[in-house]
Amino acid sequence: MNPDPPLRTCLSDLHRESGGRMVDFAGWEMPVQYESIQKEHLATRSSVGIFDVGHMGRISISGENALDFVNRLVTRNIAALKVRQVGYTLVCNTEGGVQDDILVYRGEGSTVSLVVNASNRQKLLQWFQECRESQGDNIEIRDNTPATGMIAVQGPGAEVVTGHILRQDLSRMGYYHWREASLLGTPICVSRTGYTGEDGFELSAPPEMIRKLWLTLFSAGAEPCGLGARDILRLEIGYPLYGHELTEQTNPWEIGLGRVIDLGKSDFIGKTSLQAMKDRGLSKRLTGLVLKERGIPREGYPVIAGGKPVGTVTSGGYSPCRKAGVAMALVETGCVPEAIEIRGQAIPVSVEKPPFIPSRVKAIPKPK
Amino acid sequence: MDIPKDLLYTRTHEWVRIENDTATVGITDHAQEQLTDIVFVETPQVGKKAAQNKEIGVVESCKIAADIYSPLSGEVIATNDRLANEPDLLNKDPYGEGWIFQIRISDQSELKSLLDADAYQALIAEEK
Repeated sequence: MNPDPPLRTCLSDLHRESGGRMVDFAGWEMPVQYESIQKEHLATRSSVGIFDVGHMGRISISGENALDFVNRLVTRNIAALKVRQVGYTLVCNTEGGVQDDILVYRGEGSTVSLVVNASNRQKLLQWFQECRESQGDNIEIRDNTPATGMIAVQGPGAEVVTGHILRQDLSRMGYYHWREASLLGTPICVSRTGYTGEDGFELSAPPEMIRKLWLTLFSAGAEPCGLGARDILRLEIGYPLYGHELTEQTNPWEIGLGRVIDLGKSDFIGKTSLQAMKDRGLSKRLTGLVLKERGIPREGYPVIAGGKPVGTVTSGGYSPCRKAGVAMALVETGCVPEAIEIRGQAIPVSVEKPPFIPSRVKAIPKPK
Repeated sequence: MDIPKDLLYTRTHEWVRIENDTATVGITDHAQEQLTDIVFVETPQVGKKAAQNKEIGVVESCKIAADIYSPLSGEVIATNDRLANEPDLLNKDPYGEGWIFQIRISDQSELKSLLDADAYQALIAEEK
């Protein structure tokens, strides 16, 4: 139980007015769905869905050595990001376990902004403070979460509707890039990022502007989507979710996140452990599974090969696009899963490398 | 919220239609509305012995799996085969084409423990 009163985003009352069913998520009161998760899922895949992601932590880190400071906290070399580029990376503990998976927005000069999971915001803020004190750096860490809001606009129609509202040509904006737009004199941070496998944007701005943007997008026909749809959309694309695929005990190599671990860069927290984990070799691997018969795999269900349990489902659900149950599972290496056990019954599966449906995010432009 | 007067109800949101010694069972309009987007129904095998208030099947929505409890004891004599491919019948027509199974009632005295429409209405109001 969370004894504290729930945190609310600047859109909370609008969700209630639209019939949003509010649930607790990491201490925040968030809509899990409005009328129908399937309707919201379909809208995002076929036109435009809008998501309140105001619960995500927004932290800015500034100061002369901010970039180096953050680079010591994350697994990938963010100094290689260009100004106005965004990078996905991990914050590990000294044992190499995953404290969070985050987005790093590289700003002008040495300034860096982070978007972190709601459930890890306080933990990371504390961790960053401790690191700052031990290093004695002249670094300012600011939590912008309460003073701003954030929404995601996702789907094949996202570029047109977002560009229209912001009066910006977004057609040439690259995937995993950000820029500052301005509307009625208010700055808005716009990034071509998302968690759905569709093209789309994430916008953060002061609360009043976020409310205006939400209402304008809603009037333009964008479908408000809750956490339920968001979870299915990310599962279909095979994106990991903190608390499920990723925990403090997770070996990130096993999750297939080696691409965001740069052992070639100078020292960073967890580097020695991550190197040792890699040298030791993997005992498990994150594996995509599609049910061949009716049934819905859920987190915690056993994965079976040769009549024996060889792994556990980390995320599962019904994919409306595949019209089948799909799952991600941590499976012992060298085993080919044959079934998922659902309430005592072995339901046969086929192994499939995610994404379970083709991703339609904007291609990363080739450097000229 | 539709709560037909001619049916009986459980505290776990099943409805029961009694015809002589046969009971037809489904989940209520309130239950389907809470679950929304039903994507899977596990029906019991014909011939299975059902015990009152014991799990006998499962309904799954996008978000969660919920047990179905047998409102009465008896033997399962029929299940709704259409639910295999059309689980959303539970959303579209919970008291009609979305029926789940039928049992032959073994103990008529158990009927006393079921709720009538007014009592079920009151139960939902209480839960809110």
